[in-house]
Amino acid sequence: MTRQTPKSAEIRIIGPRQSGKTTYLATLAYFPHKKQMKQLYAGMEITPVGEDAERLGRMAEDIIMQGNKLAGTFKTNIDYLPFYFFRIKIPSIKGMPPIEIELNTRDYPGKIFEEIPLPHKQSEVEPFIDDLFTANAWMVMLTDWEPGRDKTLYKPAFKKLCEEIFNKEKINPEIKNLRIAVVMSKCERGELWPCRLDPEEDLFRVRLPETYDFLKTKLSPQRLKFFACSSFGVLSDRIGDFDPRPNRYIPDDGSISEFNAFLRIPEQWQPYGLIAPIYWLSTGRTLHDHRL
Amino acid sequence: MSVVVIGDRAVGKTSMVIALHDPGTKHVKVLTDLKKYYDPDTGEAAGTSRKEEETLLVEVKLPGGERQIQVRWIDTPGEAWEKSKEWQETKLAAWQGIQTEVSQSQGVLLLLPPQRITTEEELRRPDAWTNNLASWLQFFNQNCATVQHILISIHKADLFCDIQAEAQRWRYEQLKGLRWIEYNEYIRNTYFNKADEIIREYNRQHSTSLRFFITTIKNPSLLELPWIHLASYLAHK
Ligand SMILES: Nc1nc2c(ncn2[C@@H]2O[C@H](COP(=O)(O)OP(=O)(O)OP(=O)(O)O)[C@@H](O)[C@H]2O)c(=O)[nH]1
Ligand SMILES: Nc1nc2c(ncn2[C@@H]2O[C@H](COP(=O)(O)OP(=O)(O)OP(=O)(O)O)[C@@H](O)[C@H]2O)c(=O)[nH]1
Ligand SMILES: [Mg+2]
Repeated sequence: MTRQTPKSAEIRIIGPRQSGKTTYLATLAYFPHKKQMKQLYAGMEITPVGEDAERLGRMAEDIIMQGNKLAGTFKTNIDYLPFYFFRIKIPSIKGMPPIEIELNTRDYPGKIFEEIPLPHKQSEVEPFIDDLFTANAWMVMLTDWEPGRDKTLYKPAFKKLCEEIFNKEKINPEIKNLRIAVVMSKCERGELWPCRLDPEEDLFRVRLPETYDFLKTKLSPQRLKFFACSSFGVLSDRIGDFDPRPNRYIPDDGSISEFNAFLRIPEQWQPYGLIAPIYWLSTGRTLHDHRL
Repeated sequence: MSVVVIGDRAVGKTSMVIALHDPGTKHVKVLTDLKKYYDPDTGEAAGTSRKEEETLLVEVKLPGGERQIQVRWIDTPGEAWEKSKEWQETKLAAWQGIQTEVSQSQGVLLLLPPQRITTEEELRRPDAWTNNLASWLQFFNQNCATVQHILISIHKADLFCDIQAEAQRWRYEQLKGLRWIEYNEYIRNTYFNKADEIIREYNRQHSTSLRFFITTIKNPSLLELPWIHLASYLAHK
């Protein structure tokens, strides 16, 4: 195995409110299935580095594992948004070289994403857009496919973001290397789970047609890729043996299930698809193990 | 980081925090000296006449480790919430101060009286308890749009349930934690079922849903639960 110098990746995580961004990062920091993962791929390691990223891991332990849910990320001044550092070691998988990624990431409040297309909010959105362009990769997390949202939120938000990309890359050609991973979160949900294997075709093209068509016409496949992930995953004792019942609990208390879902059995916490988007965003290569 | 304790007069707001300090609970301990709030001989709290603010140093034992957190505790006078609104009108500035404090806080803990029909007034109006909760929910709706944690506890649980049995059933242990969602569902279904409809209605319209508890100063295990719940969030700010 040849050692390579670590690749550094600078990723911004954006998406509407409650799409699961913070839970995703806390799950990555805690990496609840590390034991099974190491059995599968010796040398696989995810290490949160520094106080802020370590705090994410403790949130997973003290909140998610205890049958609570994380609080929403409130809109604040961009300067108060922490940077989360991770060191990610991925051994050779199916013929691909091993790699070490130094990930630096930021988790945006969902409200900002929702304000991107609103003309009267531009002064508030601007500092966030500027920050987006200091990164070389974006992860956009979506969770629902209401036709209304497809048309009136996701597509307009991407439209605005693409305008920014095309304007900025004229001045700064480096922006041509920007990669965007569009991720459908919470894909343990029954109607999504079978679609996870081909998220582009079975999730995005089918469920978010307006947004999908727009993105496909604007961005080349080198810059755009679709993923499915679930921080909670499905129930199962053994890795790879997926008992397809979702490992989540939705209380019957009137609340909207999207805003109020809980990890059901922490002992069987086996997230799905956490690493694939990061791997592609930082290398441009696709991991051929859909569980990762 | 502030936590506001609110509730009608004599519902037990001050006593609750004092009990976390002295004799103290197993997993939550208020380290700041609170002697000025009570008579050390009888342990009785003096009625709160104006808004009191204290920065509490609180030690909590969470599954992920022990931590000390600072909580700004705001004790509100029960009179402020009297339904007559007399206090709110005569002491407008103080009332507005409380409203602002609530709306800017991280967490709100509302204490409710037990549901009992004992007085003649209550016999005449059997829905009084639910109506009272409904008006609190309206207050949250108006003032708590950005409050992340709204906890509602029926206090003085010793007056309406077998506190030993409940404490046994819902014991928090540092290593094992507690299945919060199960506790919450159980308390809501068992003790808040009369108000089920209004709670659902509230949850339908708000992204931060309500969390339910029963507490009493007579049982430290039950008493500490809302504070552990809050601490698990505040410790990671
Ligand atoms: N079913 C399911 N629910 C999830 C999953 N991940 C997160 N959630 C739930 O989705 C809700 C929102 O999660 P967050 O991680 O706070 O979402 P967010 O995108 O950070 O939201 P904002 O901070 O408001 O922008 C919570 O109730 C989570 O428990 C998942 O993989 N599956
Ligand atoms: N049985 C029982 N009595 C309690 C409990 N907690 C408080 N009390 C009693 O209730 C009375 C009122 O308690 P306080 O703590 O002064 O109530 P408060 O809400 O702070 O009242 P104000 O300051 O007037 O708003 C006192 O006599 C307490 O001893 C409890 O858990 N069980
Ligand atoms: Mg968040």
